[in-house]
Amino acid sequence: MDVETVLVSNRLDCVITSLPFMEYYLPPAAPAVLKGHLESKGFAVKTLDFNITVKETFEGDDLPLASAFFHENHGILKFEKSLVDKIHKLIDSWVDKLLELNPRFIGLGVFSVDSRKACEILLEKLQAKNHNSKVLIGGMGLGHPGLKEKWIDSVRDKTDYYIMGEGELALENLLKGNYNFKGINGKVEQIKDLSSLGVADYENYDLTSYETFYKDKKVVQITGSRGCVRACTFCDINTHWPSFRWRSSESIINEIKRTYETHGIRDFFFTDSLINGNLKVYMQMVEGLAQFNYKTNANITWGGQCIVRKNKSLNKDYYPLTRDSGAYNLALGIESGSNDVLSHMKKGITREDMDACMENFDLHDITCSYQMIIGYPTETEKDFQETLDLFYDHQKYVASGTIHGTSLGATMCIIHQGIPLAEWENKIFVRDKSQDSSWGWTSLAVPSLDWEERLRRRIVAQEVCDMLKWPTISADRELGMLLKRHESYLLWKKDITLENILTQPDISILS
Amino acid sequence: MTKICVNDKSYFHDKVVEEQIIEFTVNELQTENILSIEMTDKSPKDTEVKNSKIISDKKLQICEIKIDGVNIRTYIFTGKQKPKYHYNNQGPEEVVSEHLFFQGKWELYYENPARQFFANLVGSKQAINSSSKQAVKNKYLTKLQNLWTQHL
Repeated sequence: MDVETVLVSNRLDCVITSLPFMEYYLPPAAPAVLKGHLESKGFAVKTLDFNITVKETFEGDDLPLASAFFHENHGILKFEKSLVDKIHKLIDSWVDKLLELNPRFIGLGVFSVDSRKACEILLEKLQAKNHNSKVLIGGMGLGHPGLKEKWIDSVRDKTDYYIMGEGELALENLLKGNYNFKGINGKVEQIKDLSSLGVADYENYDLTSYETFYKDKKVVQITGSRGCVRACTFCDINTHWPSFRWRSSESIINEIKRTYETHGIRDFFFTDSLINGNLKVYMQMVEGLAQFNYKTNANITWGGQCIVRKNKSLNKDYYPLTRDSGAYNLALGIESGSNDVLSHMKKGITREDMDACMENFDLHDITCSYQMIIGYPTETEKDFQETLDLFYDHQKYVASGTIHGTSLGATMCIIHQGIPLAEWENKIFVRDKSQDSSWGWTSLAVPSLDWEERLRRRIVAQEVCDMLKWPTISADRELGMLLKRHESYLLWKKDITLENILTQPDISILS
Repeated sequence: MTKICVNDKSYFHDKVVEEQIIEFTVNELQTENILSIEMTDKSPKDTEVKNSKIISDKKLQICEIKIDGVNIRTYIFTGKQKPKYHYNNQGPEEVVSEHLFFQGKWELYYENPARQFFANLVGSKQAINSSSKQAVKNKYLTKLQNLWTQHL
């Protein structure tokens, strides 16, 4: 330990917070993961989930709008003064809490671009107070060095440090005083051995606060891998984690067993972009967990995101062991019912693969939910109808309880810098000058596909799901956010001038 | 012999040996339906007892029911049988089980369209379908629909 650490040994080393907006289903993993790792190195760390305080404060009618307040938006958003006042009062309480704890370091987690607004306000309020904690920010919402847009520059004067990428080793070194460690005030190198990191610690969270789809269950998150084996055009995972890295199945199983044996927690949620990226490790993991479930009455369950696999790549035990290991409500990135759209997305699967997968899920009693993207830039009306067909055709799995619901999304294909799709600008889509990633683009591949058409499709998809009794996950919040987003678009459109819109590029490049 | 009816119309009446998949199509579509399953030929002779223990018996087990492609899973346990016992006071008047040990109809209620009926039933347990969340969702959906329509 360095001199500074010894001198202030009675002081909390670090408080790590999560900021809105994030979904309210589960306790945020990143602060717990960092706490677990840092404490394994001897530091005193506390986590605070400020995101969940938004839910606690605004539960009911105001929650969708309070959530929308924090969302990234480039247009003008108008909110009731009383709501804004209440939000500021809440953020003041966060500041009070942080200063009361008086840690050496205050770490603000910017989980995605949707946590930036909360971070900006909190930083401003912290700067206005007299304190001697060092302030650092980190998280995927910071972006990465390859981006043209540098949000980090806009808040740099209010922060002492920032960390782009996986924070465990960089933060450990920051607390040790090794300020030159690569990744402090820059981009970290991807961690090669995930199994060597400390185990996540959820001790500071009230696990009953979360709006889980796991009713009456206490769920904690666990990380089995980082990165992805696919390169879908709408996803920026590969820019944050260029290589797919995974923990050994033994280390994952041990963490689950230890958490069960020490805290009695049986239900886990993987933070991974996909749980079944490495099939060999996946099969070892599900076999190990299934054996544990057979031998004990632990009834371990686990959920998380996973990819639809082609049947030919799977061995006969894939589905039975997935079930027996406790798989529950797996989040499947289905995205679209159209093979053309799936192909452009580089999903690596077809509608027929989805049908086969769902038949097996139904047969083996494995539950799941869908994540959809409505309004992808190449989505024609026919493609959209094929997505609606998917809802009709798979209604039987909703009826049998295999599908728990679907998320229809609130962005209708956000195209922000850093995703592969952004590189198709002026080829398959054109941006207007609003710079809004959600409503600020129009398709060139499907010229009628602008924000208004995407919104229409989103509304139709909602109506169809409601009619077919598909539960639409977070639809209350998503529609509240969409409403604010659309109001912002209408305000922008009212003042539209030729300067707001880019000249149509040459589309002869399109085949 | 096993008899399977929908709304008292027989669609299967035959011997069931070991595990058997029985499929049939119901063309008369009514909203409210009763699926019934019963053993029609069980007698006390089918139950062989030795030293007060049943050593062989004739019984029927409903392993799985699919209606319109929907595996109804635990909804099976909403079905009830009124057994015709061999002797008075041999058991309860009504039995909830997937096992039928006596004659007497096992009846299950469902509605058409079946997928809609079961989806509604299963979905109603989801948190998003709570009345408060539905009210918020519908409020914003209506506002969006209105805004979108006005804008045209």
